Amino acid sequence: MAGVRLRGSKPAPEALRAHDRHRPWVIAPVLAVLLLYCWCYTHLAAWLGVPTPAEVFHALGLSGGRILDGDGNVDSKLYVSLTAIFSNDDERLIVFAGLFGCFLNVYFAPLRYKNQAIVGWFVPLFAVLYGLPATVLLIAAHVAVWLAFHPTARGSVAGAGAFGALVGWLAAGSAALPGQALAIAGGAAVAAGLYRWIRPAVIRGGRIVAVVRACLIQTCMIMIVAATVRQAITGHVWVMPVGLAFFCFQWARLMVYHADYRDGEVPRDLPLGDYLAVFLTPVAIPNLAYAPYLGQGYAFLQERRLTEDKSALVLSGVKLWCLALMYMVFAEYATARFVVFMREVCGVEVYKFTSELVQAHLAGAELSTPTVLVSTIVDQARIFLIYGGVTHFRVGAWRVLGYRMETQYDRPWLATNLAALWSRWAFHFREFLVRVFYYPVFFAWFKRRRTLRIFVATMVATVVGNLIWGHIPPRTILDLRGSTLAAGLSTWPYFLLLGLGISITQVVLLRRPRTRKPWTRDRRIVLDVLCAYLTFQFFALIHVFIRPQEGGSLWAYTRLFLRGFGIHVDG
Amino acid sequence: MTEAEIARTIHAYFTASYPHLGRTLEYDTDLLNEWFVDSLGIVQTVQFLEDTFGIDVARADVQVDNFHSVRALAAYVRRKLG
Repeated sequence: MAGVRLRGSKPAPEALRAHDRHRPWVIAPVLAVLLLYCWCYTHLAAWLGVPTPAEVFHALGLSGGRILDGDGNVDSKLYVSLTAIFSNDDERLIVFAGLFGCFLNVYFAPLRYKNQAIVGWFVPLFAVLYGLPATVLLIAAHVAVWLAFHPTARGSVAGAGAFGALVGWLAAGSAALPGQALAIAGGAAVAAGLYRWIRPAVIRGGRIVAVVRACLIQTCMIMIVAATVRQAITGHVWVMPVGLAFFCFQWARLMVYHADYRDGEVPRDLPLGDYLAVFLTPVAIPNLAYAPYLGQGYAFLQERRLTEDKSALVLSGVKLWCLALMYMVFAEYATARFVVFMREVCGVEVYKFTSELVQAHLAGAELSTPTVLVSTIVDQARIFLIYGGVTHFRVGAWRVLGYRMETQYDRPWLATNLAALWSRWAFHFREFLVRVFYYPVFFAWFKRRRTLRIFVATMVATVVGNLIWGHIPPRTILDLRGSTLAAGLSTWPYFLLLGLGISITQVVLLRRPRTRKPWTRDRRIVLDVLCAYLTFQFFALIHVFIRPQEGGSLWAYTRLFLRGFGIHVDG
Repeated sequence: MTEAEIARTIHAYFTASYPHLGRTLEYDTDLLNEWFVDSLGIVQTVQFLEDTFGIDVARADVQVDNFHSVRALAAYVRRKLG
């Protein structure tokens, strides 16, 4: 089937060459901002003997509360998950150094070697942070996907041999050197031989190959279901190996890659290096669970690679890094000050976290409607600042590496309806759901009934896709218990309300197209302000269903939700 | 319906539904790189084409060749209308 392109098309080779002009001075701003990050978030200042953030705060007569952490640095929302080889500060220093090295390499490498530069920096960086076994497992998992999808690629049999060698090394574990060598050589020989034998069948495709590919892409969901079922039966909680967990955290990107492949947008003979560059990038390392879908699949990246002058892209990335730093440094401070202001000046009791609000409600606290409304908004504002900071950092890193990536958050306060908010609040997540769930349903079902068509496609994406493939994996990959899965599934009312809100908005907009652009400076701008508030308030309020607490029930959450509308129902 | 009339209708739809401040949509403006808001814009355009011109847009038809400009879309609709 011919491809459905989301946005734009891959830049032509001559455009890529034109956009690849070196301007060495751009190294300075990248280095300056990364050094600023190092000064804020690592022990670099102490090592160099320059004033630390805490010393600067004290010199200025500021306490630095809620901004500084225990060791005199800025409390960081940027971190490296799943590893404890180094301290958090040292991990961050390694990531920043790795990003700078990768930037230099990618910036100056010839066009055809840029992908190799990305992977080339990721592998040692990952190995230092997570260890060799995790690195080998992650690479082996991706090589397996590449072998299943690209049997006609040059060197695929050698790739199978490499896969066998990696698996052999993992299987040998702590065996003596001769044993390891035997396992590596044996694994390589067996895998290469086996792959050579089955390769014609993989090239032909067919149902079994399609199932194998789908299973590889859905490794994450298969692992979650298998581990939770096993835990329910045996009581044993399985901890996923780090390399596999990292692979599973790329579930959404793998699904988009699969969709790209099915739509013919991925070259069948894609070389291994180009495949790995989609997934194995230093940008994927910090804050693994924050917007793991960022970067999408193959086509998305190709359409964004060097779409403009690379130095302009780098500078736009650096600007985003500056914005990210501001968000991350002041997020907790700003929300805490606002909570104090509401309590002391306005006399409204406000909880900084929706989870605290829910706990207080379950404990029998008499919560007023303003408390419910303001608390849920404050929590969303805090999440926006923290997530916005972290995702801006990651998007900035993509841009520094030469990709014109959209920001995850795009001034969500301008959204005057839920459909617009959904796009402005989580652009990349929305793109993932549209690509993987909305499109297939939209083009296959109810073609003659337009309202139903839009409604069902939106509901499938926003309820089923959002809950099962959006919400469950990040919640359960690191805690493979049945209770975690059940708690995740119990949040369905949030997804249903969000899905209904977005679907109804879509249908209304389709039936009654706008005649006026929102935020036009006329007297109806007051309505825009009201719509923007109501939209965001509704979105914030439904979060009471997604913060389940011990002892909570659907009815208890519903009562709290209704209290936001001024409806007091006794339990 | 002539191709010029179709192009005018499509042009009016894009300028109303996806206004870009300070920019003018020409018949040859690259819709995919310069005008579409996001992926949802594509399905909304598909719905618009089906509703307005009574054609059946297949998924296979939603590709760069047909969607890259107002002129290309008009030509596509004209072909579908027969």
